[in-house]
Amino acid sequence: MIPAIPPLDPMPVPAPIWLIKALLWVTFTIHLLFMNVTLGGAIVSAVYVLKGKDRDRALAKTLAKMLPFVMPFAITFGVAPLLFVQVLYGPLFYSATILMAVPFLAIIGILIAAYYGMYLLAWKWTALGRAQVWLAAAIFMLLAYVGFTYTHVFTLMTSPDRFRAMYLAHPGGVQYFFGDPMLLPRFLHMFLGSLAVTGLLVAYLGTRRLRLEPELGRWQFKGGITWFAAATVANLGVGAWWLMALPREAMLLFMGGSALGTGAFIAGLVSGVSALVLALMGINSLKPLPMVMGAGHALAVTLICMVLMRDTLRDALLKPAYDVWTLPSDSQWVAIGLFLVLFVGGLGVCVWLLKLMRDAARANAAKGDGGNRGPGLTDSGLHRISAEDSQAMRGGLAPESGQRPRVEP
Amino acid sequence: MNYPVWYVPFGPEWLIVAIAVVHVFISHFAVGGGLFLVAGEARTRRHYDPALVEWLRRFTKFFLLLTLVMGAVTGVGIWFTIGLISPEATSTLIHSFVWVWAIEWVFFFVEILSIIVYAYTWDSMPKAAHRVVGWIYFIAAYLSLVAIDGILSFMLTPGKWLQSHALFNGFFNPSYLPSLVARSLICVMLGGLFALLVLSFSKDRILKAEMGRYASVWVVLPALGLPLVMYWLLRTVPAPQRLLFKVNPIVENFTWVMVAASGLLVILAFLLVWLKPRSLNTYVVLPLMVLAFAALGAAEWVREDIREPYLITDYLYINQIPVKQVDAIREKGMLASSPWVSEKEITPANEAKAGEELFRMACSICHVPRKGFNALGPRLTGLDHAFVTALVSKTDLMRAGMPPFVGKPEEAAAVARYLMDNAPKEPVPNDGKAVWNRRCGECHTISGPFRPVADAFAGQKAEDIAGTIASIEMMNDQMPRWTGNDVERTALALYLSEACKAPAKGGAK
Repeated sequence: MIPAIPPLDPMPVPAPIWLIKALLWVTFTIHLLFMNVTLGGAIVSAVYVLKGKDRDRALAKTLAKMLPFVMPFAITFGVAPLLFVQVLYGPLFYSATILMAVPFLAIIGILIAAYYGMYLLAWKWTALGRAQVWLAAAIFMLLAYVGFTYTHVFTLMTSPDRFRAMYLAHPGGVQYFFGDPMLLPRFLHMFLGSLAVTGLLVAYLGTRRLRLEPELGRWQFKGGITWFAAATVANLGVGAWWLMALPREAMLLFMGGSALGTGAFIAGLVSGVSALVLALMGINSLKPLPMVMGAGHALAVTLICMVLMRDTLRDALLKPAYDVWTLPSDSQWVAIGLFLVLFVGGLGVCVWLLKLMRDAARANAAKGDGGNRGPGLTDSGLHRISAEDSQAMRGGLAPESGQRPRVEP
Repeated sequence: MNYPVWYVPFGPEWLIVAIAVVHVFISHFAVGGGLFLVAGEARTRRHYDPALVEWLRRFTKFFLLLTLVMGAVTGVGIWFTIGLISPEATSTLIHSFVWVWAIEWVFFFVEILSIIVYAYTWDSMPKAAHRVVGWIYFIAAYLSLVAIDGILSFMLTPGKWLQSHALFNGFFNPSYLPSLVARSLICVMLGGLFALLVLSFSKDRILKAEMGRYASVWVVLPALGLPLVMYWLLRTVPAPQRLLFKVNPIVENFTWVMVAASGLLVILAFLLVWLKPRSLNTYVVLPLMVLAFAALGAAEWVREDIREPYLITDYLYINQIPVKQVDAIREKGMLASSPWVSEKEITPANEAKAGEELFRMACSICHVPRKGFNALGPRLTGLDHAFVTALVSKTDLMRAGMPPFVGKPEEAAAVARYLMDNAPKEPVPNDGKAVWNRRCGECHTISGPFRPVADAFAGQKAEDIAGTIASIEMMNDQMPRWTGNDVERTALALYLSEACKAPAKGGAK
């Protein structure tokens, strides 16, 4: 069937294609990191609540308290690639979203619900009691809906030959296409990736506890590595499934057909397996931090490779109907320059803000009240055990009481 | 035309209303409230007041929950919605202004991080540093308004961009500055208003007395400047669109809602809060909030409607048809120009189905066929197919600010068939005024500002007018043939002879 792709916008792309592509890759990779921690954090938190021991619940709480901090960045860094994707793939993106308008627009309401759920969970953790697990699970389900719908839109986008018939069958924007063999492995691959990234974060936070709480730290570290390793091993399988589900000529891109595709595939596979090996090597190491950091960096490389592969795949599936590299462009260099300057400046301000916050928290911790009077944030932003938790773990004595924590024999 | 049209049974306008007005309300507060926070914190510098600090902290928490969640996500929601409803316009905006959006995005992430830091460090950060963080938030928030206002005002007054397609011309367009000033004033008002809301939850009467009066000044003072800025803004609107204030009843009504609600808001804020800040409570503030929401909602509606018949003035019509492509589409036909229709040839058997597809492309952005806001069916009861066809093909002559119908004559007939099928079949009154309203009133006024007929018929006898009506298409080539029956014609002639006798008022020339 002839693909019905709306004609290109009469206005040229206001930048070189490679620049938009690069920004798309960079911002999307950052989005993936935040998104993974949000989606994975919700479900991992729910699982730890279910496990039920004090140490599990304390860890669940740490993850839950992290969610409302990560979420705005997941959203903000999702907005940027969505902007750049519309510059490069507008005719396909708009058409696909219009076909799925109702589930796509529902994302907005669902995000709001999930987001308020996170604040409720983080701020009313203790008061929620047993409802914690339900709320965390609900947040996960809502976010999974968002993820699945996005996967669906971006899968559908690469099948413009289906657009016309789908639209004529129902112009009301309630089209799904579950029949696409790429859909399910693609979503599962992303989802397992979330568990892996969250697992590694849990492990990293565990190593940070080692100095003060060696046993709990090691327990948490091992738990995190288990999440990471299990999800990564499973993901090797799901990745193979996705690869098999691709049309033959697309699959061959990663088997030598395209230099970028094949290179990213091999590099991603190697770095993914290295991350796995490093993480597992760290399990019994006395100083696991370097291993975890190594695994984290390798995982980041894998993510970047996956983003590049995904992009190669999209462009390949769209050919010959749509070739992004031939779009007319007429660069607005002054605006691009201004953006880059502001971007760097903005990042500088952000770094300075984070430093300010860390200093404040340190100064406060030195004063002795743990820096925890704010609604949920621990001192360096993400990963410090709150004063009350440490206190609970050490036998329930408040630091202000002036007594030494009771040490379990 | 180029894109599939998402068919929303109740009309897509409601989606814009539901998402955009909420967003506008919160996002202006996100700027003005930020200013209120830093101003409030500055007060504690001169005179340290623990109660005020505690209250500011609570206000920040409220601010965070509202702006970071609802404000930010509904902002993405607007973007989703316009992409779904008006992909052609969204694509044009993105191709012209992607770097403005990218710059706004930088301000946005600075905003997010700074407000989070601000909210969580009320106790732990040195006071001076905390104030700086507050200022960073406010400046970033305001700059995001400075950026986005360029795109919003561009759609109404693209100015020199139409010729140059240059970013600079599009961004600094004729209505940019007045629009920015108006929005800035609204931000300050909403900052004060939301402060009143949070203040009304407090039980501290001393704090209420002090801050209530202070916040009410934020509501009242900017409002005094607003009429002048609005006048300035209106001066930049092109004349044909300015005329809509007089001839489009929806624009007229919403303008009144806007003026009345904001006027009442200011009076009540003065009487109930400035004069009696101590008795501030939720029952006082909630009506003020409702008024502000109504005023801003109406203002946004007017802003959207006075752009009619365009999405981007002189560039893109509201139904996604580029002005430049009108002739080409008209020649080829709409069905032949769009891949998103199943009926390519109109036959008597498929006329209504083809009409539905054409309606979806040409009209469904603002109209629904049968029931609801801007429903067309009920307005066509009592009319005949030939006349409705004439109406459809001459939409651009109507007073409401409609885009031209760009289909072939048989396509206009198909739309008319579809609409007639959806018109309620019930008897209609045949008095002269009713006939005037349904057969003439869409394009004429008796003596008003839009194509008045009073002078043409002044002093004529009813029989003469009836004669003129019978061959009205001779008057000029835009007038449709009279297709009503003789009863209607006589009644209309009598009505006109009476109505045109009275001296013409207003803009009749």
